[in-house]
Amino acid sequence: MAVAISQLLRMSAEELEALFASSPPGPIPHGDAKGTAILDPGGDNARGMADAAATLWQGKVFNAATKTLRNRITPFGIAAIEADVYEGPSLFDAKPCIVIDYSKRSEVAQDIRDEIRLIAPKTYLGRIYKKGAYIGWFALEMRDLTALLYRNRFRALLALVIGIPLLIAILLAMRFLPDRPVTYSNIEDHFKYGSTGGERTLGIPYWLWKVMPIVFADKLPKNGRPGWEAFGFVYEKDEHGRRRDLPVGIQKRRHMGIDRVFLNCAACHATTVRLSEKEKPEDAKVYVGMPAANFDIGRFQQFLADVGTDARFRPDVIVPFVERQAGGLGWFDRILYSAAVHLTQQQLVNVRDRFTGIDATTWGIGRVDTWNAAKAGLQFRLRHLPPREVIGTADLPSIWNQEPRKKRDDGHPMRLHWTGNNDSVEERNLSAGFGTGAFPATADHAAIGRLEDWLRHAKPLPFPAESIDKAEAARGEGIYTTYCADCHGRSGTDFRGKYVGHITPLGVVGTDRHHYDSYSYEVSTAQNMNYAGTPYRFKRFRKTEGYANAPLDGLWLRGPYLHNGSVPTLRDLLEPPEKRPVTFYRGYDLIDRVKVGFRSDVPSENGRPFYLFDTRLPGNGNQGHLWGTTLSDADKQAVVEFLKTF
Amino acid sequence: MLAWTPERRLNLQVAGVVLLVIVAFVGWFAWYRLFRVEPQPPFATADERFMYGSIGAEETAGMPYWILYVLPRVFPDKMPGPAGYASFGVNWEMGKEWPTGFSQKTIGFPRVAQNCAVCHVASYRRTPDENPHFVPTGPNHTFDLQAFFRFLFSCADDPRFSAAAIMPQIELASDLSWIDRQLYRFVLIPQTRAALRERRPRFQWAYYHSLPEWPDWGRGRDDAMNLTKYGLNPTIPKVDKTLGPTDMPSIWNVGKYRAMEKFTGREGSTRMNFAGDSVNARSVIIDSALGLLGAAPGSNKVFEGEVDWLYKYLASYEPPKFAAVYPDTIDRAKAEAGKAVFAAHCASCHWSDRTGIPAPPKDQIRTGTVVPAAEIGTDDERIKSWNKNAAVISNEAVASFGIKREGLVEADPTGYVAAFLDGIWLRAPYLHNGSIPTLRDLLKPPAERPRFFYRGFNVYDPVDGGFISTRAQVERLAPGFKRGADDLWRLMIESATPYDVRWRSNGNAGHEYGTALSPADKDALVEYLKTL
Repeated sequence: MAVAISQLLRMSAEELEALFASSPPGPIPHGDAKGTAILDPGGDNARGMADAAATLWQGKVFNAATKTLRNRITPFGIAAIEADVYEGPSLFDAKPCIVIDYSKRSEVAQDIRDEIRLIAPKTYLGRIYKKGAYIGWFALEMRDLTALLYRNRFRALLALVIGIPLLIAILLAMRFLPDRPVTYSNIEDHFKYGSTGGERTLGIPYWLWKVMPIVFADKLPKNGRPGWEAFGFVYEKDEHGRRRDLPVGIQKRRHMGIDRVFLNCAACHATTVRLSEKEKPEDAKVYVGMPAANFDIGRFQQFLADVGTDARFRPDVIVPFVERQAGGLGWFDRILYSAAVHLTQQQLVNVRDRFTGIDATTWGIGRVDTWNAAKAGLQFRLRHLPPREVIGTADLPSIWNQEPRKKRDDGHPMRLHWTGNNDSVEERNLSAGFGTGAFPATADHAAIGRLEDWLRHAKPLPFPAESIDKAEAARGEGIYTTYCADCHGRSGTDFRGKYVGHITPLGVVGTDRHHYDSYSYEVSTAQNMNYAGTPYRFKRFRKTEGYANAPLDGLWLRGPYLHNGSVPTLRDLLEPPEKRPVTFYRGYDLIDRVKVGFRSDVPSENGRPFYLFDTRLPGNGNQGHLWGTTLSDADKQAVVEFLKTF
Repeated sequence: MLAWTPERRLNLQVAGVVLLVIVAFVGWFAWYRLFRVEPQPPFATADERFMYGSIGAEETAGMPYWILYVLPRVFPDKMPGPAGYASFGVNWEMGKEWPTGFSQKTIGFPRVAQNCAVCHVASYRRTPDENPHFVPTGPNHTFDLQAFFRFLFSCADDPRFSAAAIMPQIELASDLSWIDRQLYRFVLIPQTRAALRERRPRFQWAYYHSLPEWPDWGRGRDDAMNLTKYGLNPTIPKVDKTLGPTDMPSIWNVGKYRAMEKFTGREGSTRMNFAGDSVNARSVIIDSALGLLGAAPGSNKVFEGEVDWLYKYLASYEPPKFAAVYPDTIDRAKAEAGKAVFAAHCASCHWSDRTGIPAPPKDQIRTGTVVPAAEIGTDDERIKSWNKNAAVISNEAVASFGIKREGLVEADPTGYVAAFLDGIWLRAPYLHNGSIPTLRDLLKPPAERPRFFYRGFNVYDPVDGGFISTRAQVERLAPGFKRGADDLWRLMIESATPYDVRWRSNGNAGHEYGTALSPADKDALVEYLKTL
């Protein structure tokens, strides 16, 4: 009759003794035996105690050939603590039993002696003695040898099936899960190189960024500048005087297993400025927060769109370039980069598709078609735009002093953007962030918040004081106060004025209407759906009736002037439209210390041609904004002297 | 052999409890993510509630928020224009998440459905350079409902209506959690597609398009009785090839019907809908709302509560006054002269206590009653689109939902209702099918009325009383807007759909009252009509 272990657990000590006494010793067992400790015979908690004991001791493994055994201990069933096994007289009744003798083989258990007898097929009841004194009972159930074999095999298989994929998963997770931007403690460095989170959406794999201008050198603008510099990207020197790896305005983050790079805020809001011809171009200082007057974002975008559909954009062409640049790739990286080429290509083709219908190469440097880019982001089909919306190019703006823009004279926030279509600084920032790839799921709000906080009070650098005629500037202040201050604030730091931050209707300001027309009521409604489902949902986009009256902080760095950058210098802006330059050059970073703005009468420097801006082209009109145009020449220059102090 | 030892029993009990807890959690989670109802946030004004409040359609016909959100991005090729949902001509207040008539409510997950305001908010601009003004309860004469329907069904028919194409767009636009994304990927996208495809056969008739036999409804119109006929029938009826698109009506001041009946002492004499298919304004609200729900309401009590609120809100809603919008344009003396013309020629069919003239004898007042088709002479296709049998079936369907209401008139329609003229200046184009652009055109003999024009441009013509729809209006008004005529023309056709009176159901004949008046009298009459 089989004896269930549960029955043994319910037996009293007397019953166990009777069973032990009446049972034969049985053969010396061989193989694995499951053990159950019976520490409190017949007690209420016998099962519980047995289960508790099982975490320390699961059973024994007998070897009948060598007449030894080992115990399975710890929750993992490690075989340890050896003993000899032989038949001998029992300490209980001197009759034969199987003795388990630890004295010769175990240090820890040398005082222990077990005696077992066969109480049912494959089931032994055992008594435990310490130094010859009874201390408890246990039971052993012999396991089937074949089952044991299969169990071991199963365990090995399980280890393979789980262990190997687990190992691979861990390795892959270590490679692909990290989401790590390159961070900078210095806020200006964070602005120039730090992350907005956009690499996660639009990031170009780092090594593709490195080789693209090499593989597709034929598609770069031919202006004598190498690599990405052809688009106006600026490389600073690091603290050791070495050229930095990435230009200003490029953020980098490890995401999805590879380093990815993309534009950040500084791409459009930082560039070089030279105060004198003596400064070498490569030593020009980078000014942050000012419009990136030399960045050809339109051609940069067109370049990306063009290479995406180029026949050479495939792994077998590009990956060898990457290997050469990187000094060799591991086999895994080679696979990864082959995949990255395909994924990036898909993304570039998407960009091309979305912008089909407008010609970004007509934007010229320092300008962007803000709202048609937004429409492309909203996936409006630009090729179906009404003709009046197709051209909407605007000059890149400066972004200093955001805090004073949150409150104009009437207590409301100022209208922001050239058309004043939004009056929330934070919303405006997130909206601009789309251009860096920062989307609702990927925007790094902590990193953007850090910039936002800094921009609240960031200040432009001052105009070289030695080039300001103080007396004339003082005279100019009076004229400025009469003609300009109501709309543009009292000075470069004091933005009070009853119309500052308000809208001047299009018919009154009279400037080129293309940018105004390109922003439709309809696009404002769709923009107000952005960031839906988050606390950041846009609510402040509006179609307005004209252009906003902007404060003039850092005005000397914001040339050319008007919303479309159609008037090269401040002095020219004070001329009536027919006397303003019809064409001029953009791209020279040398400040014009007299007329204020950048030098615009020079076609090239060191054989590098500048961009010819033609005010006769649609969207480039330099008409309107006639205030001050009837002043005397002396008065005009006095106003310019005063504006230098902004 | 299994012995039921106490240990085994205990183990089983523990396992049972654990299993129960897991099942309960999974059940709760599924309920929470799919069915829990979160009330909409309170609305600041009654107008907001009307424009964005739920009438219960989210439960039966709501689209999962993010699917509706990204459809224009997944299917830009199916959009009528490059401007998101705005290109369907919806009315969209600045800063709002959705256009008027789109209600958002969380039932398990955020859903968006439509309410009355999708067709019953009017917009107007006084110049092409100003932003639109919105008038709740006014007729939405800019919205292309048929194009919107076709867009949704066409998306569902497209293989791109799949997680593979939709999820990337959702992921770009949202910051949904992993669980929400799986919910969209595996449940909501396939379910929504299936639901749209299941409903599509009910709209088969709305896909017919061939000229002149099957013109599109165009902006500002819907084939209201066919929507009811095919929408509320438990089995989908065979397409009967009738076509009766009508202008979106204003639903302001709906208390006027009862007030008129009280005045004339003829209970049940006023009719609603263009052909007088209903006698009760509350029933019209119920039938229209059920059309948006497309099925029995989740809770009749909640539904009827909303209907009662709507009736109360609409009963006393005042239409905007022309003189308040154009204070300097109205010629008071001329309008006063027009009042006399009106009294002589129009009052028997259009008198109301707002006309400012003495009431005709009570038994002769026809305002709100059906004028026989032969007498009025306007296009009769709308009459043919409804019949007794359709009314019986619809009444049975609504009754089967357990909703009590005074039913649709169970008789074949015989003519058109003589309309109340409250706020008539903003209800252009005119006649039931919107076949006449302006009040002034309506006073011309049919042969001289515009035969081809554009509907859906919301810049108003305060001279003729109506929206800019024709080249003549463009030429006359462009200089005042400081725009070239071609420029204004282009603006107009960009946001309008063409209308040809030779297309079936679009006829502009009939209603020849006043067409023989002298030019001076017509001028005076138009001026007077603007004041109503």
